[in-house]
Amino acid sequence: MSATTGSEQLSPLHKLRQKPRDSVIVYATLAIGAVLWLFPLVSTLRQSVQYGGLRNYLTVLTTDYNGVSLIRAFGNSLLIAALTVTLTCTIAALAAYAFSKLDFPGRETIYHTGLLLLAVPAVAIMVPVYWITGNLGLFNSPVGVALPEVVLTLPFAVLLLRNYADGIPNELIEAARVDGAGHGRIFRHVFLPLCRPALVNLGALCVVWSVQDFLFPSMLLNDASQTTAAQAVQTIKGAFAPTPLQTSQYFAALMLLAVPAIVIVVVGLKFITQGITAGGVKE
Amino acid sequence: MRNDAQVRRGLAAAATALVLSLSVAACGNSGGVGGSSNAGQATVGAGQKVTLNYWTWFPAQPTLQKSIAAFEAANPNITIKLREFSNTDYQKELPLALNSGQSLDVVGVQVSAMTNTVRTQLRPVGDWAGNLPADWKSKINPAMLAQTQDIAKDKTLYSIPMGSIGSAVVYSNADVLAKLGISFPKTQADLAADVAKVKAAGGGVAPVVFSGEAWWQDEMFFTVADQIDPKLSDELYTGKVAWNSPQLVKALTAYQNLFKNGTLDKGTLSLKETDADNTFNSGKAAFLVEGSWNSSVLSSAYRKANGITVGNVGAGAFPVVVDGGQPAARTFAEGGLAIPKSSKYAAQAAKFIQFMTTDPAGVSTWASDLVLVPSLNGYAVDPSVLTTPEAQSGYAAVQALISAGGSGRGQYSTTFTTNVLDNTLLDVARGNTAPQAAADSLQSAWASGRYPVQ
Amino acid sequence: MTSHLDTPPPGAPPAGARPAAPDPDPAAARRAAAARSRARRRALLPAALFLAPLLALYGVYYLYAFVFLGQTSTQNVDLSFTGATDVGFRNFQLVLTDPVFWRDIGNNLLFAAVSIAVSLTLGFFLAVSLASGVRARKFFFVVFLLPSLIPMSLFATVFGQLIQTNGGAINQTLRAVGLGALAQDWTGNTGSAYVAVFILLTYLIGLPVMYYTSDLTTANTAVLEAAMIDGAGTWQMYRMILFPMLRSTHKTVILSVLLGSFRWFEVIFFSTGSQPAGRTGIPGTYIYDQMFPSTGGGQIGYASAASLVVLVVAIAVSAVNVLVQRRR
Repeated sequence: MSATTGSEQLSPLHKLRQKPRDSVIVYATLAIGAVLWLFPLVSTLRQSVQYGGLRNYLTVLTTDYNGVSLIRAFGNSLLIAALTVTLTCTIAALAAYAFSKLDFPGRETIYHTGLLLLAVPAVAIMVPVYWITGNLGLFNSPVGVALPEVVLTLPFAVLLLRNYADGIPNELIEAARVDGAGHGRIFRHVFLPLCRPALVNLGALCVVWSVQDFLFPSMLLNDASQTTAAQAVQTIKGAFAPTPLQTSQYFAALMLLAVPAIVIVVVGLKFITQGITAGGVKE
Repeated sequence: MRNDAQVRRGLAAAATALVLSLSVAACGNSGGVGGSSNAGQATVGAGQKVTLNYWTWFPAQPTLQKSIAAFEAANPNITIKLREFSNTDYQKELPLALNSGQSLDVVGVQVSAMTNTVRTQLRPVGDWAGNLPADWKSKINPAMLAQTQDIAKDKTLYSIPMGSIGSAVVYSNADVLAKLGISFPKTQADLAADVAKVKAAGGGVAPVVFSGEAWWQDEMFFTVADQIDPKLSDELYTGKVAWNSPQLVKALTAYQNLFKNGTLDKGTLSLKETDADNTFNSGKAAFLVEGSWNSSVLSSAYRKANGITVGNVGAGAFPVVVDGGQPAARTFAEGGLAIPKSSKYAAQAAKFIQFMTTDPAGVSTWASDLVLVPSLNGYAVDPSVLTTPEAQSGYAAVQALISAGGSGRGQYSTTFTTNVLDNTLLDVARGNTAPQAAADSLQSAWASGRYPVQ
Repeated sequence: MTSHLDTPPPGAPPAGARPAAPDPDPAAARRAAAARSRARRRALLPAALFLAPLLALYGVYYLYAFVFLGQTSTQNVDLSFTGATDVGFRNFQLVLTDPVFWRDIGNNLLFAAVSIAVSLTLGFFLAVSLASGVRARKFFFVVFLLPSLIPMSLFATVFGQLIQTNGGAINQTLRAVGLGALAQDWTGNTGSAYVAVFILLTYLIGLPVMYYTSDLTTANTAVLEAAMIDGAGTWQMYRMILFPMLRSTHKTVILSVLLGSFRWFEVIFFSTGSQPAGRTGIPGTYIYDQMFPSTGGGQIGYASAASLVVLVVAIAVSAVNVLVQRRR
């Protein structure tokens, strides 16, 4: 399942490039593709230093735009991501245990009903989420943003963890039951450790999705000091005057806003790909 | 049943953590949406420092910072924390913030649909006028005050307008005009000739730039339409004239022709407002079509302070492009300053509003940047601000347009305008829709009941 | 729309790879029916406790939310939720008869179709290429995945800058390399705006590439060697062997892209902004524009009605997904 290691270097797929001509085609496609895929990055980078040079980055990092400091926005994004990961993993693991290891009436019905929520778009529940968040007193609170993010991720998280949990032999659970362990203990000492790989993958995905979220923060966080990085893309725009220098600085800000996400992706790539694609043992 | 006990214990911990984090987070906030009672007032002892949160979209930050600095110097115990948004963002952010109970003390409110969107969250001026000098009303232009009051559905005054604006007007790069021997265009033919000359001269100077953003399209279009009849746009929105009336078709045709014959460039329609301003400010355009709120570019001091490199700027009405038309612009009071119910410092906030609207010393801090024609009676711009004949005559022309009293501007900003009209105008400009067809589709959308009228 | 959209539509993925609903433990099935149902009933309490946090959140943010939407959708109301007036089913009637709404739904399906087509071709080819032991594999992998994994508001904003007619990097580059004729007023006419959205969606190919990459590592590709000996050409190996071999992955890709497409609000909002004249809008931007028009007050009741219609469509697609998964 190692999607990113080089372990398949000897993969028979190598045969596809046995003819030099085929190898050239593959490499040419990848190289041209890489150039095109890097084009937005390079062009933004170029525009960010067109006027004012590299100093723009320092300026942008040390200036408050509309009361929003980029460093602080990164911190806010990470805090919300941490909350989202913790809540999603905990709640989904509990549910996965019930769906996979407990046999109770209505189990499949509840499970499949939950799956229907997989495609619910955030924008379609914005109105009630605004109302609910307000009545919970959670405006301008990281928790207020994390909860709807968790809720939107849970259908996928439950799916992923249940699929994984179904691959854990029931004998392990039953053996623990025979030894007199209750469900709570089994969950903590048997189930959770066994689910660890899946939880790590899920956690990595939650971080990515949470950091990507724009709608909920933009609706629920109006306090400048709470602004997240994805939200800042929009809110700081008005603070840049239409001069060449400040336009360049705006591009520098865009570049910087991408940095945390890029770091997360590069560091967590393996878990992200496994989380999305694996979800559990394959037959 | 031992299992269950254990399960319960395990889960109790998780549940407690969740509840705890919820309630901790809830502490900062009273909860609820759209709560609309006045916040209790903080008692401020003598010498105690107060920070006021001021949100607005206008005037530009450099201008407001001057005003704030002057106010803070005169009132050392009050600090103003400004947060400024782009026009489009502000339409969304202000209602969200006020309905979520965010504590704001002074807010800029557009004398338009925005007033009605947020008025339930604002203190009527009557509630805090006690903090103003008794004669404050006599100092403010009565017409502007009346417009601000009448815009509210309950005919209550919720804000004090800083001044009046008009749109659209044309700013010219006087240096380019002088170099190419062009005079400020009065008619379609003048404009077409000027554009041809600028194009022929090359040098990377665009003839005419303006914002391609959807919300700007109706501002441009109504300027043309009102050349037929200065009250045409008023009559359209009040249902006195149908959207597919011959007058409107005539206006749509004239508007389309501007693009069809190349006087205005369709490529411009993809410019953001800031891009258009930027192009003009850096001397890369001969003409800029903008609102009168952009008149700061007429001031050489403002240009210098803000790195605007264009050397000399003139201004005037949008050239007449319909047969037998008169120059026009829609005008209205703008820049309302209001105090939200959530403010705990209404008295201090009123002090700031007084400084910004009725105190000549305060008004002059922003009025010298020419962003509005101030509502303060008898206020005249210091002549030293306008350093060239082009700037002087330009500012006079803009002022004359605003005081000519054309159709209202802003009170008709509804979802019909943004979701239907603006898109239709973009289609007309690009030549995708014929004027008559566009007019018919406007009328049918108008009559559909999908878009409530103010 | 929110995070989850663009990237990994929290969709069918893993389910696509295996049966979603395994039959209950066969050992238990053999036991007497009475004993079994007793045991199952006994499991109810622990199950309820384990599911409590999940069901509590679903109850508030889905169930109550849907009920709340049902309520506001029959009202004329703004964001303060005060002073609502009852309008019955008028909002639904207006939404369902709005040609713009249907055009936006059509756009959503078209964009999903294009994204699926790109995934099944380019995505498939890239994944196979990357799995064939190329050099700098991790570099290429990151490069192709990045646009899908950074905040969509950011990537779409950057893309929106690229496609500006004047001063946009795409047009500048085209002119610089002598292809000025291809430079477009990208958001100025419908055709080029669609092309721009298609290009943007092509950039977001990361998710399918991940699916294919993963399944390629477990697929029995050894058969390629045999085909090689039988004298199969490279193209034939792609078309006759590899592509059919990944049939279940294709299905996963199709379903997950379709499910994810309902969450593409930011993709459109920050790139074309629905231009020209609203023609590249999708239901997400439609709802948003009703809630937050660029001037004037939002129509929350109308937006709620549109939200409910979109929810019904999205849940219907999910239902198809669940049924497909279940049958396998």
